[in-house]
Amino acid sequence: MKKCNRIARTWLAGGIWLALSPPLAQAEEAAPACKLKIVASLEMQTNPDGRVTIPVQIEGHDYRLMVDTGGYINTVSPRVVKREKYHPMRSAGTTLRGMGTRQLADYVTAKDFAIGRSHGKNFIFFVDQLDSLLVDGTLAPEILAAYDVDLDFAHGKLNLISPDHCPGQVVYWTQTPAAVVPIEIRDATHIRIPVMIDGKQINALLDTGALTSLITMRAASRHLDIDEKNPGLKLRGNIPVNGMTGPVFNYPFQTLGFGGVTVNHPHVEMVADKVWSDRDDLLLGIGILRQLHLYIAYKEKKMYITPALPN
Amino acid sequence: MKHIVLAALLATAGPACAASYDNLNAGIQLYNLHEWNAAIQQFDLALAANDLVPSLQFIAHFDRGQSHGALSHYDLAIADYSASLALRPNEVQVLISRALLYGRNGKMEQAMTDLDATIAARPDLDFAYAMRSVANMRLGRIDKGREDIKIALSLRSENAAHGRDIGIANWEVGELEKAEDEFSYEVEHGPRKDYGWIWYALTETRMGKALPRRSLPDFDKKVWPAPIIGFFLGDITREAVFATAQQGEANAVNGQICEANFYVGEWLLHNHDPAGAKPLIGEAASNCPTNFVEWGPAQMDVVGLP
Repeated sequence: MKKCNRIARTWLAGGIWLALSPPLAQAEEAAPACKLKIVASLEMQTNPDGRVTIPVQIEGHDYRLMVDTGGYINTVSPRVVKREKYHPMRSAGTTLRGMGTRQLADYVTAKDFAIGRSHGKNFIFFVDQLDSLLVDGTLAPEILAAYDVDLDFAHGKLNLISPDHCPGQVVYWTQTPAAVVPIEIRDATHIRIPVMIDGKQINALLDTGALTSLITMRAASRHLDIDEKNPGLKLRGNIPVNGMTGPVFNYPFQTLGFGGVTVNHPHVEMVADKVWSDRDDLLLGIGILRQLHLYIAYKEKKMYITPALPN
Repeated sequence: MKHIVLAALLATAGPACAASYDNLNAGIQLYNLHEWNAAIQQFDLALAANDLVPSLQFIAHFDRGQSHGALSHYDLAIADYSASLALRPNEVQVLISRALLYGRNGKMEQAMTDLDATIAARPDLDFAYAMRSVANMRLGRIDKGREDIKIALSLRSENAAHGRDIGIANWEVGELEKAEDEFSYEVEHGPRKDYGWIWYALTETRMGKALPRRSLPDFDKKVWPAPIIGFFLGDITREAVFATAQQGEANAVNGQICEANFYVGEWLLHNHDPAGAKPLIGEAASNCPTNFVEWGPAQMDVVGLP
């Protein structure tokens, strides 16, 4: 998950971002109102830690970007910068911070950026010190939120679908009723949803870029009456969680409910408030999210959820 | 029209079984927690039904291979990496991982094959050349090893880390001014200022310069490698260095003898005593552990000695 300050976001919003244009053939097609129109159907690859990437092209070269619904900005690794012979620019007087300690200040502009057959021009990517051979950068919602995003983890597919469809008619993958959850879009693109954890409602931030799901001690105390003296807490130690280090506890949560869909024994780590001081109470990382089939309808402000393999 | 589009989406769905997929997710979670044995059990279950889509089979094999590797089950890890590569033959992360384990198992030709494939797929990876240089040297191909180091150095990014290891790479290919800068940096800022100074002193000597006494960092005179520093400074004899190297626990002694042979040998070599240097550097080349930084330079220097 990435945070950035107000200045940086304003700068981005007024910057060079342009929407991906649909391929010409699709643009010319007169679509029936209720048709789900696929803009791109992408092979999603799972990384060793469970997070996922999709194939993209930058300046005509193949790369893999991690899908980061909790991100504010798109990033690329220094290897992309080197291969494309970019000359990074320093953002004027502002610094973007990751959830950890990384400061992202340098950015590059991709003249041609493509997902599937859709191309966009002059996309900004901040340069992040990613050291994985399986990930060349991250893709934040500033691009994803232009579409419905269909995350089919169990079949390794990510579909970008036109948001122009009949309301509610999106669950194509099963006859099983899907949970329909209202989503609140925060900070322009971040998804916040109500969930039930051990029977108590709590607001959660959806972050496919986060490895670990976590709840702060503050939120656990406020919503679940779990404090540091609770016998169920087991200290794992001072370990890094999503890039920050602090005391981390395991707690035997029983259920996490999304409407009518339930994840049993969700792995949610409890962390000191300083580890995650965001305004949300619960961060849902990829370990839990990949147990689900998620259809995020940004425009409709709804998310459709079933188990990853509902049948 | 809607039915056609939905059919297209549904056609992507394979016959995945919920149990296999659940096992995979459990395995990944345990893998992230470094609970290797439990992770392997889950990956075993996930793969047993053979119904995961190929991209998930790939990661199940890779993560299981990583887990086996962490437990030093190198043959099992290699088998899993091979299964991953059967699904994605040019995946450089897996090629690198398998090459490392082939190297640990002494299968240098196989390691070389994987590193060649890595470099063919990603010619921009400096560390792939660095790894191949080691493989070449272990196969006795010293010149090829040196060439790979040159390429690795040329591919380093401007922001790459500085210090002793980069200094040694430059030393190996004869870029002494760059080596001098790197060792000087290590003496000032590095985690091993004592070894940094030893290399700095050797480099200055090799360049015909005076011993950098004023750069000498604070170091514990009772702890290895103090005797080597003392020898360079003329405070103790060569015999005293080797006598001290013999003291301590068995593992430490092996390393200390390697270092005594190498550093005393190099000191003699660059102080115009190649005949005295040759048996010592030869010993270092033969007996230094391959994961010691002295191993590579010893391989290169021993072949050039008269």
